Amino acid sequence: MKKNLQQMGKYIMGLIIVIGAGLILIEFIFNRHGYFALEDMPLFPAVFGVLSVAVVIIGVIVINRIILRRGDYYDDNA
Amino acid sequence: MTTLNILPPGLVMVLAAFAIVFIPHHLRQVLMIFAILLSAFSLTAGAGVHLTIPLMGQDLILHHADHLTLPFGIIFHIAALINVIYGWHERRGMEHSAGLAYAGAAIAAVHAGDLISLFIWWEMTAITSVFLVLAGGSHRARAASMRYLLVQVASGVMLLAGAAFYWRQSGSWAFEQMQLTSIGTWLIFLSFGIKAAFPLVNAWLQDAYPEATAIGTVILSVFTTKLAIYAFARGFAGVELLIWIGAVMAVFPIIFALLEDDLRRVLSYSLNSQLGFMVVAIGIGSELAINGAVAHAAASIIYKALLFMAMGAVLYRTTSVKASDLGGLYKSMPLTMVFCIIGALSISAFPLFSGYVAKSLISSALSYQGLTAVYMALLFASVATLLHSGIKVPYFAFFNRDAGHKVKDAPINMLIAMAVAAVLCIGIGVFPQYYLQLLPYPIDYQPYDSGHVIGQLQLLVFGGGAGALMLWFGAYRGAAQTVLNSDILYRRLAPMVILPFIRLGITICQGVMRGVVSLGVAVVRLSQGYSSHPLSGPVIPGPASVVQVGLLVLILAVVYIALA
Repeated sequence: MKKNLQQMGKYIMGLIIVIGAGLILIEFIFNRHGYFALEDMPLFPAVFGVLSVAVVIIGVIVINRIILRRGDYYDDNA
Repeated sequence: MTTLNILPPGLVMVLAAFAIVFIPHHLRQVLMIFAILLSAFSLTAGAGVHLTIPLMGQDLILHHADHLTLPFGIIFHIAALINVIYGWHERRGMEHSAGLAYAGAAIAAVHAGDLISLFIWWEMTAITSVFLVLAGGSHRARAASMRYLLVQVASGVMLLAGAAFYWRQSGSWAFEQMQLTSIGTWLIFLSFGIKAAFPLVNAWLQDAYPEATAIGTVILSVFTTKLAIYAFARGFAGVELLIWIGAVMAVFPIIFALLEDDLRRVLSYSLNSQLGFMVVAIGIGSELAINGAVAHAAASIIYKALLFMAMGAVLYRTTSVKASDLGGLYKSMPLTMVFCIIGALSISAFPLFSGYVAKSLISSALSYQGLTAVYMALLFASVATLLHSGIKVPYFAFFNRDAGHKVKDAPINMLIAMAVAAVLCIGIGVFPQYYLQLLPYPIDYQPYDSGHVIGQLQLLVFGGGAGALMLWFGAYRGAAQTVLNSDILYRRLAPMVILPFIRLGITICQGVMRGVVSLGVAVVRLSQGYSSHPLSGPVIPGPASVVQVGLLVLILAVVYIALA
């Protein structure tokens, strides 16, 4: 089961890489455009997507100590 | 038949809800469907005011319909029907009754043409839905339901107070476009804001919804917050403040959703974020933006219900919906997994799914206003939605490590309900032209052009790829921890501040009580003393003399007052 999942994960990662590469190629064939002029910069959505995830990770690292408590935090007065 | 459809939509459902408690199980479900269809028939009355009751020189407008009520009326009825199918296996009547009354009250609220009728149905949604949380049965559910009720009733009271102020100021209680220029309209705005789960008053949503039963959470996810969205669209369209509140709403739940262990709570945060998109669109207020808000509300009702249904099915089969308890269900619950992934693709706004169509409208509306910063915030929230609702929820429930649950797939009724919702998610995405016709304002819009589709796919594939890498390196970790939310204000901080005052008050009260008791004891002892020791002679005992003195004082006082 674990092996199956790992195999599946590899396939999915491979698929994402292939599709991602395809989308970068298409960018230079079709006229990709966004709702704002800023989005018309080359590969803007791809870069924005990756940067957003990076920001989210940093946010999680910074904030998790502040907002995480043990599981029964409210149980004494819930 | 023309007279039947003047009844307010939803009223039949509320009335039927009281009757069905006493009806055998399967017949009850059939009657619920019949009641919903009968209620939906009232939608055929068309635009206009169809039923009023005179009250205090004004009219209570119980059935008002127009271009804005119709899409909400349609989607609410569809959601109510899906819920009946989804909950068919449940034999207890209470949840069905509460669910039907709740849905009916929300539908009736949408068709209320004045603030007083709106208040009545607004409170009815609170009172009926609390039973859905209570049905969760646990100690946590009971405690959460009481907190939920307090917040919802507070919202209702603010609405009533706002309506009273508004009436005094304007001489009307008609529910129409308002401006934030008086205390009345501010109170109404805040009342709607509580129900729409604005930041800092959002915690009731994440607190209560995940404590309900599998069926209850699905019903809850549909009505309360979308009723608030409708109310904002009718009362406060174009109020700029909403744009900024909505942008914060879309972004702030992201970290909470990623840290949360309970997958239905993750979806509750995600629901909060989706509401932010709608609030932004209402704040813009243009016809395109209102169309976007309504389109997003309707699409979100379906895909969010689908995700909650999938997690409800997991809860029903495994008795847990925590990421730390789950994993590997793709083999035992394959159909539920497929439906969950369809919901995940929809909420993530993949092209050919409903979320894409709805979000395109809002993006276009933003671009016409030139609101770049708000657009970027929503774009960021879209990527984050992919992470918490598109990847985290399906991954931890159905993939990840095998948690060893050997269970059957969801019951057939749950699968049918999920299939209907999944078909709607795809149908809206593939045939948007039919969906767009239901929106409040006429629209000629083409969501699919190669430029935007490629951009959206790039965003999702690269964002999703980075998210998948996070999974690969174990950055997501499900742990049974409590994520603090704004309810810490009334669950921890307020008690810390208020409890000492309450204790002081109790101490003072106890002291006063002791004083009163001591005084009483002293009076009794005194009268006993008089009894045993007469004041004068053997004829008039002590108490009698006291009464006589009292009477004399009274007579003298009366005479004095009469003469004066």
